[in-house]
Amino acid sequence: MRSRILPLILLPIIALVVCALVVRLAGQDPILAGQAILRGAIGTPRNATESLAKTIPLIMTGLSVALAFRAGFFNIGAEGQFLMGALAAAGLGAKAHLPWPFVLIGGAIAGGAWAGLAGWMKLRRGAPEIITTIMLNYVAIRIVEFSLQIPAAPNEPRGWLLESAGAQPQSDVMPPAAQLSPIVRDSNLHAGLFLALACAFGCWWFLFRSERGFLARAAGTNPIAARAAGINTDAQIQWTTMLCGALAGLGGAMEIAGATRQLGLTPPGYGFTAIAVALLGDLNPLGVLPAALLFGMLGAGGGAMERSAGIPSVTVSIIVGVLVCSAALLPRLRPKD
Amino acid sequence: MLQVRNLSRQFGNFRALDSVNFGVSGGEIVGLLGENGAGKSTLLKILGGELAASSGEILWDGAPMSLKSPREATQRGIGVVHQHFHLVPVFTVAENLALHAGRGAFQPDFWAKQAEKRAASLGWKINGHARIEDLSVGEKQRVEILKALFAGDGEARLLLLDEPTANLTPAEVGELIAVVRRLREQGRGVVFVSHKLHEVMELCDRVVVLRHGQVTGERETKTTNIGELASLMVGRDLDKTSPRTAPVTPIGTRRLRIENLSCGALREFSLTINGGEIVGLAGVDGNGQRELMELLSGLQKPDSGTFRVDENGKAATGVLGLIPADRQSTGLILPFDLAENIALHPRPRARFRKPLGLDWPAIRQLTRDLMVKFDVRASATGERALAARLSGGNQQKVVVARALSFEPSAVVAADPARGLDIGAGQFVHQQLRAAADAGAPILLISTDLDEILHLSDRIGVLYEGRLLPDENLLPAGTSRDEIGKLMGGATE
Repeated sequence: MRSRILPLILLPIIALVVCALVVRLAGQDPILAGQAILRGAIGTPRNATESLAKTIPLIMTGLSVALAFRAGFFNIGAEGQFLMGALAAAGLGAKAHLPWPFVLIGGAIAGGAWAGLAGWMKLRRGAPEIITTIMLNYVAIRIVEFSLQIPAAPNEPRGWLLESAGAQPQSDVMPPAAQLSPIVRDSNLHAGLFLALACAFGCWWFLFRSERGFLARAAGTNPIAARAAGINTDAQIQWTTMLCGALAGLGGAMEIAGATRQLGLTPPGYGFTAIAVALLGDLNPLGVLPAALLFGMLGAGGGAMERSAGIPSVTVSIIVGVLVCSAALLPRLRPKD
Repeated sequence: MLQVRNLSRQFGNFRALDSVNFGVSGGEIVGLLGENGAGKSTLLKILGGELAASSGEILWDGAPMSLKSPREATQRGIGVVHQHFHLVPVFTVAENLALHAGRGAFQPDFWAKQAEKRAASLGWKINGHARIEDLSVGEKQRVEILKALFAGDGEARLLLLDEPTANLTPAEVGELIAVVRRLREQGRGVVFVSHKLHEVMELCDRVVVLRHGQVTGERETKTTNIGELASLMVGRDLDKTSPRTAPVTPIGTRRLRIENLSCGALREFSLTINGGEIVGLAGVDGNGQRELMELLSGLQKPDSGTFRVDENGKAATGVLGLIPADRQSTGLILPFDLAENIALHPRPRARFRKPLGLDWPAIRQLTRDLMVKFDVRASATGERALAARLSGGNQQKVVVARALSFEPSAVVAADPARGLDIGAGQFVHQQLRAAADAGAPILLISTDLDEILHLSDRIGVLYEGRLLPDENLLPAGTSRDEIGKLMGGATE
């Protein structure tokens, strides 16, 4: 066990050293940048809540990717599933004025269906999910754009979710009943945090205790042996993809209902960071929690660094990049000896 | 010509070769005998430049030699014929030879002529422009031998043959033996690796026996006998379970019925096995064994035909116990621990299903019990050891334990003792007999004729996807020769 955990601790440290060198090469002071990021991430209670708020969607998408990878489905599409969940949430909340439980369930169903589509294509036609899930990300982005389209001329179509004012490409603000209540007043940190934590423990139980999770892991780890043991691997793939999509979709819905409170145009990229989160978390739902927190802090700290120290927030992108690369070096990804 | 002194090779804590000494001279055939895992392949890989030795030295014509790559071995005049062919199937014979020689522009006619000339010198004919995939197994092997003979600028003086008879029919083995003798007449040294005693006795001048990485004996074939070699090989005198001689009477009314199964190489295969009976299916690998196994384990859908286990006309209870030929890819999930691998069987899952998931502590306990019963040796972590960490023999015992422990309706076993030492193999055989005595129909698919002869109540041969001689099969006690003829396709 030690041999697995040690690199998980060492790698971020090594990664940080590499980051410092790269930041140095980019002409910035790494110590200053580090301090600014740290201050931005946890320097004040306000910053700390912002870091936690950014952690929530990373937990949900990270769980989605971790679960999918365990089940042998390389889900690169958490971003698209997240967006479809967010879109459904905005439709059900800001448009249909339904209360938050419907918003969350709707988001989960939308994300699940979106991932299920990729699973279905894999089973039906053998379409590799690495390609289909990536492509479905772009389709999701375009659907959101289409839904928020501002007519340039009076006779042009208007996005069905576009705010009443029609000034910005965004949806109406969610009515209070559709929102998740904030944990800390006037912050983006919302009650979805507890749901995310519950999901992480649920996923852990599912993977390592339940029979279904065992079958999914078996089908994902060695489909031939699983099939020889009488396990219907196709069924496992189909419904675990939907479960993974539902997690990401739920994350999207929670983001709309709790943090942003309306759907905007810019995709936040959580679904991509999620891959690094899942790998750094050793594809273990409980490991996803600290990994998501790390990336949440980096995200929140990066913005603050730019404001306070004048260091471009791209620097954070460098750090994230180095972390992603080091996550890819984790032992799990190498062939078993 | 070649001398090996105190050669050792360490893999982690495992000593694959331990101070091995042996030599080969020109014009001599030296047999390298040993069970699977005895260190034969490791030794051959070191001599062929694929592996470095941990310690010890190799003398080539009296001078120390250290090989850094297979190519260097080739240039020195050492040719290797691998057990699994290293040929490009879509290339011609000439192209494969040129690829091996690897220099200058490719001249098809030159290499084709070279191939034909050399083949002629060894007493056979070959078309240098034929594509490898169109050749038979025996012909492919000849191309491998031709390839091995091209060494650097000259000819190979030492040939290393790794289990060359493993995939050949008895007739092809005879031809190969003639070729190897011809090589000896040409003054070359030959190392002939095998675990088949009678071949080694027939062909070799001298035999070096390896066991657990050590040389346990070196004998002139003139002055030894099969019994002595076998006991050197396994470390004790053979006491095999006595072969069955009389057919058993069927136990109960359970039957494994296979009807007209067709798929790939397998054609219209029908067979009925009674409860309590072991039917052995002999045959050279590649005659439909893989397809039959994949169909019975549900990895393939048949083009036509069915199979079922029934009892009194109804479907029998229990699931089919499967011991697949490839335990690492089909039998086990290597990154899973042993308890998880046991839980791949539906029976323990059904037994330990709880509202809050599977009762893993109970499954672990069950796994520990099975490990004791089947003598599975894992590290100190016991049932939490990853299957990947077990030795091949212990992996096989896990597969066997899972297949036989949950009241199988019937058992299908492919090469169940492959890679096991004699003791473990015997244990597996006893367990198969016990399963038969408990009333299960048992199908044994094996490329090891000894295994077939020892276990089977009735014997059939798979040849080109068909069952020989017919659905009534041969009785236990049929002679090796008769089965051998059928394996080569002879139908009286």
